Amino acid sequence: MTIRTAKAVILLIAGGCAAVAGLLFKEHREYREAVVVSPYITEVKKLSDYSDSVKDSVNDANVYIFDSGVPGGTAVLIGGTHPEEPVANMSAQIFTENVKPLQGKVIVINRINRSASLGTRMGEAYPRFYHVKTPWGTKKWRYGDRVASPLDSWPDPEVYIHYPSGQNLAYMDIRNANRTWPGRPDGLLAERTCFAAMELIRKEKADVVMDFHEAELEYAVENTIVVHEKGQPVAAMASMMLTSQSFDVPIGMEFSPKALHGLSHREIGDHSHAVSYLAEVAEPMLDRIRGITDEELLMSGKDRFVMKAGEHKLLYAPIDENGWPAHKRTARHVTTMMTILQVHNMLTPDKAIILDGIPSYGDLMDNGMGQYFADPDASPAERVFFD
Amino acid sequence: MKKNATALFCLCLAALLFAGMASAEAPKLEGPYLVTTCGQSPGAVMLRMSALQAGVQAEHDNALSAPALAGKKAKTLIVTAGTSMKGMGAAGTNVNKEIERCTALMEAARSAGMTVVGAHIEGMARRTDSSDEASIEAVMGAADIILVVEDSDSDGFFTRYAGEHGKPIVKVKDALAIGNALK
Amino acid sequence: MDLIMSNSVAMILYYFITAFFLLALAKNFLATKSLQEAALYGIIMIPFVLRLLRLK
Ligand SMILES: [Zn+2]
Repeated sequence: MTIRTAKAVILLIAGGCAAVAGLLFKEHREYREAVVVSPYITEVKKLSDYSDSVKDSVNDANVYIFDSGVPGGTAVLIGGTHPEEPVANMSAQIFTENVKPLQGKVIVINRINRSASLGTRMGEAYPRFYHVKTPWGTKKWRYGDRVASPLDSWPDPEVYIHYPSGQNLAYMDIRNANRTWPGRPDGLLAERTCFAAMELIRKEKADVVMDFHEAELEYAVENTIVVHEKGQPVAAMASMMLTSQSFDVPIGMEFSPKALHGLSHREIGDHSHAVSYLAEVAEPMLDRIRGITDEELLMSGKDRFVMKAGEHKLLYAPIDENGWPAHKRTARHVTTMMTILQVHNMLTPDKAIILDGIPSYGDLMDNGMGQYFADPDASPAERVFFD
Repeated sequence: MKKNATALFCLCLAALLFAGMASAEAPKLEGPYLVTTCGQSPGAVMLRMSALQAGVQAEHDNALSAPALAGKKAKTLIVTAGTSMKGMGAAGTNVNKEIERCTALMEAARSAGMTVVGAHIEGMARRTDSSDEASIEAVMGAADIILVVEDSDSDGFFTRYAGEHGKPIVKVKDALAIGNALK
Repeated sequence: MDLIMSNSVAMILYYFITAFFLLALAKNFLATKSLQEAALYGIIMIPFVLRLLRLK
């Protein structure tokens, strides 16, 4: 075989690899997640309806508005801040697909940093998609990265200087939608996204904002509600009620540090009238010491290496052979939000937000999540949207 | 072997009796309450909210200092132990300064005739690092009475501590149940 | 020049850099007489191609 033929073979193989990888990446980037909004939807807007800063960008997310028509408060739910934390957007979508507002208004964004959900984290061998079994078939979501894709926001600065505090942050955090609050209209993609969301929060006069997350068990801020000082009494009461009445693993509470900038629990409360909350739940997939990184780990939350770390008291959350399954993580987020609203309603009855149709912790633990997501093919087209 | 078993049984019985005595001895907690935290964790806020929903008067100040005690009419001071890095960072303090403030405060409260309670009510999540340990050690050492939730004592640490130091211990199911225990 | 504009220009320049390195790799790939080197260049070219096509 001459060197020419050998090179041709090499080119063919490398080209084949590039083609396969390219097709897989393309499929991931172009897959659209169907959302069947609840029949009580008032309006579906775009983030760009609140600010031009995200117009024509990949982060011009859907904004689902459910208005009861009865005067009360307004809650904004944010999912998908970090798309490598899948329970965040699934929890938001439980609301989008099931909520029936009885008083006040609830606004949901399932995917606030869409760009970050269009590719997985480089070098981590993440699965591209994850699935949930439903009574009508399997529902599929994109698994993603923590930060926006470099295809949409590039290059990063040497040092990211947070606006407006001037605090220095790591370079890639300029693509991190939980380091770019309150954002600015002429910044980079994540900054513009947060600015538009901030405009939404201000224009809709939101009273409560919840940002859903998940965290590795090796991280100290775990299974907790992080809260702006405006919401301390509500979060304290909610965490005690949840620990006492619903959860097997307690949920704590943390004060939002005043000097740590760019985070939703700090900046939303500082730059609007809303009280900002952030909820964390344990996701073993994010632990550095995890074993095989696949969809099974993502959804079951079972990992014997993480368990081993727990035996050596290296973790901030308990884990056993039952793991941290996705439906349990979702159940915790959904119930945390509902309990925060319950306490909020007690303390500020004139700004009450009363929601019906949302499954309880027990419902989600007993039935799983599947039955709370509707079949987009069997639903009326005017109720089907794509994130 | 048999002798050993008998001895062990006697020891258990004694321990049980002692525990029973200790809790029987526990003076009834009496309000109004003054609550602070040694480590800027949200325990003090939680305690106040729990008291509030049980209809018990409690005032909370995360930066309460000994001189500030003068104007207060409280009968009992509760200091929650366990630290939060976020909280201490936010308040511009650290665990050593917190311990200094709280030990002085607890001393002053006792001189003023108040009952001093050391509490740990946020469970195992606030028993993870050396700061937590330091805060617990300082607060429990200076307390007349120990108040804990079941999760905080899931390994028996506080029960053992109370026994060793001859301090009465009040143990409640969870943070939400504290309010009723304060009635 | 505002931030968005300058960042876009920098991004476009990055694509030129990517193209430049891809061409350099291709040239080396064609020139080399070693089979092992050829294989190496072949593999290294993959991410450059994918980035130029905006796939990853
Ligand atoms: Zn997160």
